[in-house]
Formats: sequence, structure tokens, C-alpha cells
Amino acid sequence: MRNKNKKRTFFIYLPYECTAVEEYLEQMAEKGWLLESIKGAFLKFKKIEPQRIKYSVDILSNVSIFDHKDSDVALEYREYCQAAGWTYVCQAGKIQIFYTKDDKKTISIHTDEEEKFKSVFKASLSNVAMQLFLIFMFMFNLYMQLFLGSTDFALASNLGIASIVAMFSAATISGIRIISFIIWIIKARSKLKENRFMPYNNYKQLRIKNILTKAYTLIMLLTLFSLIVLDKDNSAAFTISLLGMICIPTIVAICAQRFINKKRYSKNTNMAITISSTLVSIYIVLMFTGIVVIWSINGVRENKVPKEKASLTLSDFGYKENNNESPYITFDRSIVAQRIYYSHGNGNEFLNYTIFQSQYPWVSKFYEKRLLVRHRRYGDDLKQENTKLPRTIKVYSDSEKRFFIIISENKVVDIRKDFKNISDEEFLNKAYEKFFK
Amino acid sequence: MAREQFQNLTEPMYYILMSLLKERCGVDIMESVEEISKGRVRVGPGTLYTLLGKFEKENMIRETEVQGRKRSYIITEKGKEILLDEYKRLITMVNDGVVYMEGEV
Repeated sequence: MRNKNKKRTFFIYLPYECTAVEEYLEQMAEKGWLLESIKGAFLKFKKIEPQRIKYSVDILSNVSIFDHKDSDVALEYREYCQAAGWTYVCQAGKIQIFYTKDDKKTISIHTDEEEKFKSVFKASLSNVAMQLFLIFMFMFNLYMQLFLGSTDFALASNLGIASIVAMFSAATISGIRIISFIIWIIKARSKLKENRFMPYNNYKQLRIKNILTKAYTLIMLLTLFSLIVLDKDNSAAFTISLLGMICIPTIVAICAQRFINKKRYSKNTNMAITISSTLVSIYIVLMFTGIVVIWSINGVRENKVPKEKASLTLSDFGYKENNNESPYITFDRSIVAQRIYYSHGNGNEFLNYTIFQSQYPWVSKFYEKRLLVRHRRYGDDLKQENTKLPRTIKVYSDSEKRFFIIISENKVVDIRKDFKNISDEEFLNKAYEKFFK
Repeated sequence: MAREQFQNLTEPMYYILMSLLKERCGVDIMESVEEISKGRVRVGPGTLYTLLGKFEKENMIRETEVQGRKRSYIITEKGKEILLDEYKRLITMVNDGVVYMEGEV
């Protein structure tokens, strides 16, 4: 049964939104809910008589993020505030929350707006640094996936596309946050000259922002869930290990935080604990990733891709198939593209190709550009060829005629061959017939 | 650097330093500032806490006693000098005002 005297809400805020949080808490008090504690973005309230209460959401920048809860500095600070008539409610990192029922007599915690600005600014810096780090990491990852690595792999798997969308949107959101923080600094600086504190935004704006953030988080979680759990292409092992990759770091971080709060070690010890627990989770995640990779490779071997998917084979050119080893074929499909990879050799002849196909011409065009860039980076001197194939088909090849890229509006085939006794025209005709007809 | 930052003391700074001419524990400073200024100046606990930290870092005040979490402070020679400079500056300002403004206003 849910306790009727308790209420939990999910409320995301940043240090420089402290005045908006005050507004929110005061509104809750008027509805009869008094704040009891904060854990991350979860706020816990208890039922009281509806009343007017003045809150102070205060930032104590002296508290380090590595300090345990209720550190000596924080306790000393609270005594000052309590002596001035404020009642302490709870702490959330650097944020200390107080309230008073008699806001006419009680002096505000900060009477110097410049000092307040400085402590809010200092407390926000770590958050901004974190956002910058995230942007850098996501952008680097996107660059790796889309521009450096094999673009086809990222585009032809739903998980790949989801991660691209997630990283891109998260980086954009972080970017917007940093820009609005800079705008706040500039505005606040000019307001300070009039000796007034510049609130970042009011509760109404924060509420809208919160609704958007919640919607975004929910959509991302649901997408991730549907991709991991509901996608039938994934094996159970893959699903479990992927969920593990997401859950383990969270569990380790929560345990470390609990341990730190319970043991009350010094700041340096806490820093060591935090760093080592992060390393442990990275290690576990890497291990899990390894398992995922092995499982997914095994998975491909287990449920063999039907041979029809790979329409062009060595035997099409009259060569013997290698009987000792079956062709290596993989097939991936996402909502925007599909990819078939084939590789087979019989000792003398060798054929390897990737078919990338998308219903969206721009996706196919993007892949085409990336593919050409990649070939050139490896030193393949690809040039467009004049062929007898229909005009809509473009063909690129190197001087040794080992690589062929055949491109139509929605399909790109990247071929590597090692054949003797077959003319290029004959080869192209065969490939065209199999891939594009 | 320190001299520059505290060249002109703000009102709360001035009163906090004044109240620390006697040894006092941090929490009592709030009351004494109000008392000295006859209720005109009030320092919020957060502001007081930050300012005490700054003063101590600049050796303008020093800690005299720690009882549990209660810390007592007293002004140092350096602090006195800065306070006195400010006091003289204010007197000069008032005297200049007396000479120049009397009769005008």
C-alpha cells in the first residue's frame, strides 16, 4: 500500500536554478507537502497542514562532491543557519535546503548577492565541466561511428541508429545547457551591479523544462527497451548482457555512494573509493562487452543467414566453392537500411562484398561518400569508370581492378575480388544482373 | 592582493571586523553586528560564513578556540590595520562632506 502521508516527485534541477526550486517547494507547502529528503532527482515530501513556508535552497560551494553526507563543513554551516532561525531539511550534494515559517523575522541566508552569485557559479562549474565532457565524448563517438569506422555497420543496426540518435540529442541538450548557463552568467553579472540576484529561471520555466526532459528520458528508455528486449534478432544472451552493461555501473555507483555516506572517511579516501569503483564498473562493462561480442558472433553461426541473401557467389563465375568452409555471410537490418556481408575464397579465387541498401536515397548517398573517403584513406586510387551498364548505375574501380563499387540510387555494393580469366566487363554484367535486377 | 580586495570594505565586512575586536564565536557575530549597528545592518548566516572563511584565509582574523563545532575568532593586527584604514577613510569622507555640503544642502 502506498503511504498517503508521503509523496515522491521527480524533479530535475541545476544549482543555478535554486530560486525556481524554492518556488516549487513553497508551492508544495501551500498544498500541504513538506520536503523531507532528496535523492538525486527524487524528492520526498511528508503531509503537513497547508501553510506558507519560506524555503532557502542554498549552495555551499566548500563542500566537495567527494565529501560524505553531513561533512563537518556542512554541519558547521548548518549551525550558523539554524542560529539565524532557519530549520535544516536536507542535503543534496553541495545543495543545503532550509526553511522557515517566519520569513518576516528571519534574515535571508545570503545578504550579499555577489557572494551568492560566486558560490552558485562555483557549484555549477563541475556540472558544466561534466556537460562539456559528455559533449566531447558523444561527438567523438559519433565521429568514429559515422566518419572513421564502417558506417554501414552503424546504419544497418537499430541499436546503432538508436545510439546515434541518443548521442546526438544528448550532446545537443548539453550544448543548450552550457549556452544557457553562459547567458545566465552574463545577465547575472549585469544584474549584480544593481545588487540583485539573477535567478536562472522561474518555476514555470523549470517545470516546462522538466516535462520536456522527462518526456525525452522516457522516449529514450522505451526505445532502448524495445530495441534490446523486443527485437527478435537478438538472442537472450545478448539481451541479458546488454541490460547488465546498463545496470551494473548504476548499481556499483549507488553502492559506493552508500558506503561513503556510512563510513565517513576523509575526502581523499572518498575520492579513491569513487575512482576505484568507477574503474571496477568500467572493467565489468568491458568484460560484458567482450561476452556480448563473442555471443553475437556465435549467434550468427548458430542461426545461419540464408544463402539466398548473398546472391552473388564464386560458383556464378564457374569457380569451385570451398567445401571445407562455408561462406561467411552476415545480415543486419535497421529501420533505415540493411546490410549483407559476404566473404568466401577457395584458395585461388576470392570474393568479398558488402551490399548496403536503404529506402532513403540520402542515407545511401551518405554511405557512398563515406565509403569512397574510406577507400581513399587506405590508398585505393578509385576512379569512376565508363561502363556499358545503364546510366543510372555508377561504377568506381582502382587501377588494378581489384575493387569495384557499384552504385544505384538506393543501393551501394562494395566488392573486392581476386579472379583470374574473367574480364571486367563480364564480371560487372554478372554483378549487375545479380544485385540490381 | 588581499589589500586590493579589501581596500573598500563592504558594510557587512566592516561590521564583522568591528565585532571581532572582541573574541567571539561565529554564531554570535550575527547578533553583535545587529547590536553595533542598532539593527540597521544584518548579515545573513551564509554570507557571514563565507566572509569568515575569506578573512581567515587572508589572515585578517584568526581562530582562537574550537569547542565541538563552535569556532571562536578574533581580529589580527593585519585585520585591525585594514579596519582602521577604512575607518579613517570614512571619517575623511564625512569631514569632506561637512566642509563641502554644509550650506549647500
